Amino acid sequence: MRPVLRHARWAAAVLLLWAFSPRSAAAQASAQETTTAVKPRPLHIASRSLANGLRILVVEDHSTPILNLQVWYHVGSKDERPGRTGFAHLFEHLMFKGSAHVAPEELSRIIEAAGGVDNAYTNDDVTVFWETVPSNFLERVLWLEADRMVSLTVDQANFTSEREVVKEERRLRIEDPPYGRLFEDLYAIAFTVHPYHHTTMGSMEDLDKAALSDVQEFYRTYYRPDNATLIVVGDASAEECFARAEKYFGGIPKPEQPVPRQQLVEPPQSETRQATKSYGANSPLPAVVEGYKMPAAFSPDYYPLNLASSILSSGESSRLYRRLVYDTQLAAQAAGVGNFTEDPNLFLAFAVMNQGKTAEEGKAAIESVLEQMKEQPVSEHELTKAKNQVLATSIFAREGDQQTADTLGFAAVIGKDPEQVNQEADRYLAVTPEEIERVSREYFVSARMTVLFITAPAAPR
Amino acid sequence: MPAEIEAALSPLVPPLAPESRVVWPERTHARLRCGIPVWLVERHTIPKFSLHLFVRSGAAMEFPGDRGVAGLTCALLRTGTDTRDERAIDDELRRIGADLGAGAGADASWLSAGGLSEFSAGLSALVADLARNPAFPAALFERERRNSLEAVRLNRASPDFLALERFRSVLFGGHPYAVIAPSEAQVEALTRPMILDFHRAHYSPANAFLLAVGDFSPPRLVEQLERAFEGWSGPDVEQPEETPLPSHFGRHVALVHVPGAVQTQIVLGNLAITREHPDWLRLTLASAIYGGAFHSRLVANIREQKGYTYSAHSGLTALRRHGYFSVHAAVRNEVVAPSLAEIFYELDRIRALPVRADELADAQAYVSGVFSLGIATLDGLAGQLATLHLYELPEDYLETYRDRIRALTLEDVLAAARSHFDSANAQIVLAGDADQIEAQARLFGDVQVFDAHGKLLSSD
Repeated sequence: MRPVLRHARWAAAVLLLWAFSPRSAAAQASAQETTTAVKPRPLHIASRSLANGLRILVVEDHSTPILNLQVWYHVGSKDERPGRTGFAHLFEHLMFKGSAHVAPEELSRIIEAAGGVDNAYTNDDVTVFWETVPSNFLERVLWLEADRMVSLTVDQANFTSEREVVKEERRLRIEDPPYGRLFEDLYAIAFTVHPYHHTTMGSMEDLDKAALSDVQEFYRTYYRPDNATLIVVGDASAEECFARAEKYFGGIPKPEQPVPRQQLVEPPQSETRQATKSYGANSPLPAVVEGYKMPAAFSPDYYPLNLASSILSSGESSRLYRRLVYDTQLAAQAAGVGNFTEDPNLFLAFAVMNQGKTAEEGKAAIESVLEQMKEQPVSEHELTKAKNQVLATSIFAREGDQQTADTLGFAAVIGKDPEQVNQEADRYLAVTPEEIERVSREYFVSARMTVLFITAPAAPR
Repeated sequence: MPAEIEAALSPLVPPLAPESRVVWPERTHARLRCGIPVWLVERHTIPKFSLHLFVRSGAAMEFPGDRGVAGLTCALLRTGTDTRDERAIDDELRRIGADLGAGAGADASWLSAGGLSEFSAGLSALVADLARNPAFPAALFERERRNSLEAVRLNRASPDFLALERFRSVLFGGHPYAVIAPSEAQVEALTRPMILDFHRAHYSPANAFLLAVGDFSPPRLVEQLERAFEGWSGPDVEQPEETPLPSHFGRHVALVHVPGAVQTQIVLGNLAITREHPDWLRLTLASAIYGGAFHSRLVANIREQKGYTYSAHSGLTALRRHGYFSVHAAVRNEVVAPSLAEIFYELDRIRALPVRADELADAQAYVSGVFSLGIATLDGLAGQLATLHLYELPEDYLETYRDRIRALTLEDVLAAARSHFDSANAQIVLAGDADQIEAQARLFGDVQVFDAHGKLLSSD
């Protein structure tokens, strides 16, 4: 699912219209016919844990004099207590409201005055704070992050004002854009027990209920060294990172009680769930989105499912796009994506229909594409291309410090082992056509499906 | 880090290590035998290279009768050439491990491809084939035109699109820059011969340039490009006569009525300058201090202090012939008037009084630092080079940018703000529910109300 950002200056265009932007002219394609030559070079990951439980991961890359530093807190919107949806993301905003030695908003000012950029995001599982800075700022950024890990100060005025900012963010991302509520509505039906039932933005009502007292409690419970992973990628030496991290984070105590973890398990679904909505004039074309329950990221089926997802939904040469947009010309846009998270989530397929076509026709077309995956094994040729595509994407994602740190954080926090970034190429290469067929048969079935139809407004303009 | 900020920091803040040097990548230039210039920048961090073909004609070269033709031509380039059908193009892209995109802006159209370095010859040949020999198959023309139509319909449901569309229309009047997207009727009126004509008239080595960025050896790549573009010819392209711009006197409000919108998109500003203007960098700094940086006056005021908005920023947009300054914010309906009051308060303040020395120092570091981060990736570097060559800026523009930013003074910022932030004649556009915001809008000027399709609903 889309992460929710502190501010959208740099990423807005991409993220806001993630699902339904006018279709991009870019099509990712794959690499060579043989798969062995395109494996990404391994990352050399230096790793250290402090006595208080803070984990530090460093990848040195001295090609440009900059570095990206990230602090991953293992808490997201799935950890919110009932009646406080949206709180993890609101809290992320509050982490910029000052700490013992740093005035409100001063952190971003220091970073910008360094010629750097900073931001943060929250998703279902994690909250991540990052800075990209000239490499001589390493120590200062560590100090800033340590200060807000241990001594956050939020007063009532800051809290109230920032909550209004977050409510505006909700209006901007969810309530006003075309189809903005689509995923919120789908997840509310697909999950009945597990907190993926609500999306990271939360509800207005719950945001209004949040109080300053919740802030301290949430901070004490989750913002602690043994629930954090510090990642540095770029022009820095691992030994220096470890030493400086020890200096600034080493004194932060580890609380005695363990970090509470979300224990709710979604019961198995037994039949299709469906609903129909209309979003009025601002969503002028019919649309359909289907979600199929599938396993978590880094589970054994993650790899074949990711490849199946690539074959189905990656770019204009994908099966979904070809069938719905090119061949049948039913849809203006069609795509799919596996939303892989810490707990089992959904494979999503969606289409915005052409005028005069119905959402039901879209559903039938999506399902016929999925049926084909179950009935005819993909050819070695097509699978090889999908593997190359996934691997070429990994190679290109090693270009920037920030992208590398993102990948590393996901493997370390969600995959529980940073070395997964160096193992996944082999895992993908080992997947067979039979496995693609098996996972298609297992997961793309009606008993796992939730479908949401969006009908066009009654009186088109 | 500026000394003023150093002095203000808590004494506990650790000192800085010495700064590392920025090393500029090697840049070379060549002209292919067919006449097309090419700029090459080596960067060997990952085994990737990207190739960008720019044609110096975009939507501003369209005529009123063929609005949308530049964009649709781009979309159709990948649907087939004289020797490859759509599927063959897709297969070729997969075979050589590449992605491909095409698009058109106001002043240019482009075809961009990126892939693993070892396949640069194949990718160069493919890019050349798409640009030189497109077949524009009739059936696929219909499909792509319909896709454009749906995209246009969806755009028209987005308040931020509607606000920007109206703003450009108000600012530029009858100039081609007034139009950011065709209407549904205009897309429906497009024909395949219009596409053929546009391609024939504009896709020409005399009207194009190439950028190559990444992991390659320049002499070898130039060889490959020579082979790919050998024998390409085409007409010179004449620039159309310049359409005069409207003059704006006093503040006026254009309100795009979006029934039921829970938020109002504000866009306001004025015609300003292009990159060639001597005040460009001065104004860049002034805009950063006003609302361009996250730590700017506007963000501090209406976001951090008042909580009116999540998104507030200002910026300069420079097209080839004209530029403008704009302020953007999406605010809740009840605070439209207070937000506008603060936006103008901050504009008038930066025009009236010099900024503080620490604000200037912050902004200089920020603007020059973001510039450095922007060129750290292949795509970022290609983007900067494209700007350089599209707008025919001095060759050392990029290399000297940071020093020129750092040399500016408080007086420079004040003078630029006074000359180019035209607060008294700012044009204001609001996209939101007129029933909820029209009375607030009227406090700032006479109001014209439009619907999402540009129809005038009422006028003061």
